[in-house]
Amino acid sequence: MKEDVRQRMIEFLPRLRRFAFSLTSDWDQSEDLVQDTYVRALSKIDQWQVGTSLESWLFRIAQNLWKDGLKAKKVRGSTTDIGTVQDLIGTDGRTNMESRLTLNAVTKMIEQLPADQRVLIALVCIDGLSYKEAADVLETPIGTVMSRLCRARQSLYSMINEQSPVSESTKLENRRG
Amino acid sequence: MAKEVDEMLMAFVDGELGADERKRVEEALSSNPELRERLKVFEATREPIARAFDSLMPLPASDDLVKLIRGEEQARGGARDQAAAGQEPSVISQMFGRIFHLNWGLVFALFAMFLVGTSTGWLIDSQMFSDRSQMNTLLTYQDDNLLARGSLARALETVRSGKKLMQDDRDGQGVSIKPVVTFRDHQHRFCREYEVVYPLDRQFSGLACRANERTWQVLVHVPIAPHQAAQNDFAPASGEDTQLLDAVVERMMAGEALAAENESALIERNWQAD
Repeated sequence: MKEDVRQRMIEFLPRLRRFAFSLTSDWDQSEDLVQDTYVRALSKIDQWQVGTSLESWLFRIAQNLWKDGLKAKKVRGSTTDIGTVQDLIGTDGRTNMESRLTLNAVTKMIEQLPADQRVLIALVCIDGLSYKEAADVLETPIGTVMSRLCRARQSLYSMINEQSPVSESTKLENRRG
Repeated sequence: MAKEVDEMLMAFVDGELGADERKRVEEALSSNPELRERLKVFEATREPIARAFDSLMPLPASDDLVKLIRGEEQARGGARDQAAAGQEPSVISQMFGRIFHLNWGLVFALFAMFLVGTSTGWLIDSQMFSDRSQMNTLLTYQDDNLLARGSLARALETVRSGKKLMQDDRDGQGVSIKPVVTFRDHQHRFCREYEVVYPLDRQFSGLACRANERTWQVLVHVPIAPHQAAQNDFAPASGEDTQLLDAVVERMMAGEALAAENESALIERNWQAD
């Protein structure tokens, strides 16, 4: 394998890890998913077509692995909750506390979405892929991407309004006048 | 119609519209409070969601994983030429491959009989390994005992359950070894169930107990049939296959599986009990 492809894979690691965490909502499982994705990609590198997006191919492998893992429901071993992830990130005061609340809340909300919608939130809203790029990853028409993504975001918005600690505190302040 | 309007508003927020469409949406928004309200759905679920995950980006990557991608393990792997990891447990694979084609109830009964009949629970007959040239990088056969070696021994000795140890085979492809659960058996030995995953969907599950200083006796090492999967799909071990090993583990366990903190402490103390 060419050195530049390996380098691109390494540079892609943080994005893939964020994608994996947004799917699994669990630190250990997301690390496993990332490792499995690279093991898979390295063993099947001849299936990646030069000229197509390496990143989209890796995303596709990861989401297929994750979905198959869901089907098998074979999740064993230790898990790390979001609090532990935050320990890994470090603590430096208020900003991180806000970050913890947000990551915790958002992850729990995303976890409630159907798998197909979760993948789209991860690809478009979190990673910033265009609809066309997301459609390429999922090998799905853009129209399907848009309708699924729209439903996912409407569901998320409802959850944000119902569960957000910020909105709760705002409501409290409003009641106090 | 509402669906189309919502999708248009979403595309507006996501920067997916051309200049003309964008201008039309802006004009509509300026004169329609209901549209502005609906726009909030998509504004609130874009940047705020993305920002929540920003904190994950700077976390350091596992050295093993980076080495695996770089293929550095392959460059150092000259000693593996004689025993190719790519041909991993072929003898064992053949043996249990045959067994797995038999009646499932019979297989379970066979294993249960071993466990009930002998407290040690050796499940692998030394006769099966007459062709020692096929012993591989993860397993070795000594004095009628099958022992973990190389990365398998290292994983059992030092990696906590749920974590993976990555290893390159001679083709520079990844093999991962993951201890799954740790427990004490009725002989007070520390035992660990583990999984080995090779590229091309080859997977094995096993069970080993710590015999003495850094030596792990392998009691079970079986191929696991993956689900049929499409290209690029992961092929996880089937639940039915792992039931066998789970049943063996259940019968061997004296008490509960070790909690993560106890397991970590034992690893730090080189498996010396309190």
